[in-house]
Amino acid sequence: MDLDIAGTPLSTRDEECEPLLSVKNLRTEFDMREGTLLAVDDVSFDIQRGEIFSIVGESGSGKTVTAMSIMGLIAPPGKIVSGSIHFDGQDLRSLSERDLRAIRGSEISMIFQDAMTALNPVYSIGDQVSEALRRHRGYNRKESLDAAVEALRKVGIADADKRIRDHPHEFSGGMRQRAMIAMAMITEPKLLIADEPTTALDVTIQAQILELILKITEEQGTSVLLISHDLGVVASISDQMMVMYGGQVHESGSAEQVFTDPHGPYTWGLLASVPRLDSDLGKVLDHIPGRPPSLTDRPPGCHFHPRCMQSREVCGLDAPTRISAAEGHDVLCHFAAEPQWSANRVLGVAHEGSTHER
Amino acid sequence: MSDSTSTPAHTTKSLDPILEVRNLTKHFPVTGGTVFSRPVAHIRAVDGVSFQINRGETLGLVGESGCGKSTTGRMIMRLLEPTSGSILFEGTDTKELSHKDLRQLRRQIQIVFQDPFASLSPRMRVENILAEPFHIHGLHEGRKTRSQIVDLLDAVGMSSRHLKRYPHEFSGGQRQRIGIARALALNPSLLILDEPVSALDVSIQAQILNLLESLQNAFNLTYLLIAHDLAVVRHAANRVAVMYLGKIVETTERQALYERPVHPYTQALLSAVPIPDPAKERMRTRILLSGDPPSPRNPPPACRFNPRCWKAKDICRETEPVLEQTSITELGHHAACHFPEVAYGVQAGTSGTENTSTTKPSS
Repeated sequence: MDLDIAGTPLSTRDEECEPLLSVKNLRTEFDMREGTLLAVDDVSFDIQRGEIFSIVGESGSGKTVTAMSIMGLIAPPGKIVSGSIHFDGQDLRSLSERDLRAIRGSEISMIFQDAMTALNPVYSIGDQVSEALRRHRGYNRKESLDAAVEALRKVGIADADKRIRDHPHEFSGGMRQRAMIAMAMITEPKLLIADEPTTALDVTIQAQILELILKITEEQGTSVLLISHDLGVVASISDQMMVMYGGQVHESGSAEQVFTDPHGPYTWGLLASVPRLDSDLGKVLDHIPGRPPSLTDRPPGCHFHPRCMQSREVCGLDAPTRISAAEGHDVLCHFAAEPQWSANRVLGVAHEGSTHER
Repeated sequence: MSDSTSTPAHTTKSLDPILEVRNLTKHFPVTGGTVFSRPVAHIRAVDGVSFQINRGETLGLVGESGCGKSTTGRMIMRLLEPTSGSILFEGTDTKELSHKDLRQLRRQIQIVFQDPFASLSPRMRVENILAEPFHIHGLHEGRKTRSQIVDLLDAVGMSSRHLKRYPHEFSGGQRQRIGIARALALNPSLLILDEPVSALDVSIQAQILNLLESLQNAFNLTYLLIAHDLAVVRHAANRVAVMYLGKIVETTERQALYERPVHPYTQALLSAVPIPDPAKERMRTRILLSGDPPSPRNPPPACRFNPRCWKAKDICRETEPVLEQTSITELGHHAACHFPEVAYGVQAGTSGTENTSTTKPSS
């Protein structure tokens, strides 16, 4: 019996078992003239080592501000009001700007949607890809450029030794995205935050870039926080995910759980409203009426209730509490646990799951 | 679904072309020179494109950026002059129209643009935006027009209380509705939809797609839907033409194109579109094309897809394949490929017939 008591804390203290990133009850606000805008409202999630975690949501749902909060890049009028962000055993919110800077671009790096604006047009690709090594790892110019050639080769840039002298405008869109990935991965970060990394790209290039992100993060054991509005992209590479709506986490779980057994009415509305290659021809899209709420003026009660086909009186009055639909699968909805609810859901979209064999 | 080769009723019932495009080309000069600018090269944005659209149907024109799909749409609107080729609307060549007749033509063909933030003047109220087409065509008749404008707003799901507002007061979806109302103002028969939903949020896209569908039925409209999103085109179009570097590489009825594509580019494109279902995604084999699409300034010789194609042989670099019905396709299913081969199930992720060697991402 005492063995048990002695044994348990030991194994849970094991570094490998702890999540790489743990965000608890994060609230980020922006003070605007129109009032306080609560962009991130009580958001909690963990990212395990080596895992791909996605945040999916529409514009204004709070997904990018969540990522910016983790990076410590929230500037006035925005501020993190409460919550904790633990990364690799450190409390990021308690760190000084100087210590944070040592982590950003070294342990946590970020890639963006638009590589053309993320890269500096006046510096060569080689300078930019290698900068983090000079800044964070004390490499000299020669060493860092050699590493940049290697990094560019890894992301599939042909003639990397010559191309490091090119400037961003001499690269195509797909190549710029590759260069940005090389730049982010050159310090072998533990966490890569990818904010809509393929949104500006054509589908055939998107497929290449997703494949590359999968390959390179797997090789280096990097965790990924992927932010996307594209349900297909999220389904194709995520392990875990959460759906955000109006600054809150609407539903979270494994990609399997959320896509094949969605419990949140917004999640299933979203899934039913996208045209997809495997749906029945001639099917009418079940669109969600209305539009996403303004963050300064969110509806009372459940923020989704004005658009929800299933909403009842209580939805406009009380904020819902999180309900567990299954192990690791949580939903923010008053009725997600009701059997009746599931029946409606099956009639709604979930039939997508049953049309598997066609 | 395999037994029902029937297409939606309105496609098969009439083969009444409202628009016919023959051998359309558009070459943009690239100018150079130190003192006097002179053309040094040409961007062959559209290079010999032919298709027709039948009354009441939706033709989807898909392709990646730079393939010439929007340029084609703009030439049909006569916003751009074609370098060569002809555009026949209701049987008459639009090139031969007088200035006055061209105006009439523009009433018949209208366009809806991608970006509802850029295509509406920020300084005009909704009522003026919608009255403008009537003014331009000298059709403004005071009160009657005002009631027509209210009807238009009603048709796109908005109301007369929006009349006095400015575009910035609306969301993206509402602005796109206003753009659609403006396009409908003069009762056109053909609408060119240039990426009508790609700037909108996911939950709003479906609203606009459903609206376009109901408007098509209500006003007997014909659509040319230009889009890069293959799932959107599959949802909305009756027939589809796939463009690559200024040329159509494959065209046929929707069902045949998505279920039995024969051109390698179409196959690669379809296999690249992710499906929101992790289980299906795991089963799919993706055809990864190496490299980027080449520049239309210097397109590869013969088959333009040959540098990225896993099937390319010498003939692909020497002789340009013709867009025609192939030995293995049905009537009306045209493809420009020397080695056409049906691939079943590329879209759904069930395995295809051929073993497409998955090329590693470039290098």
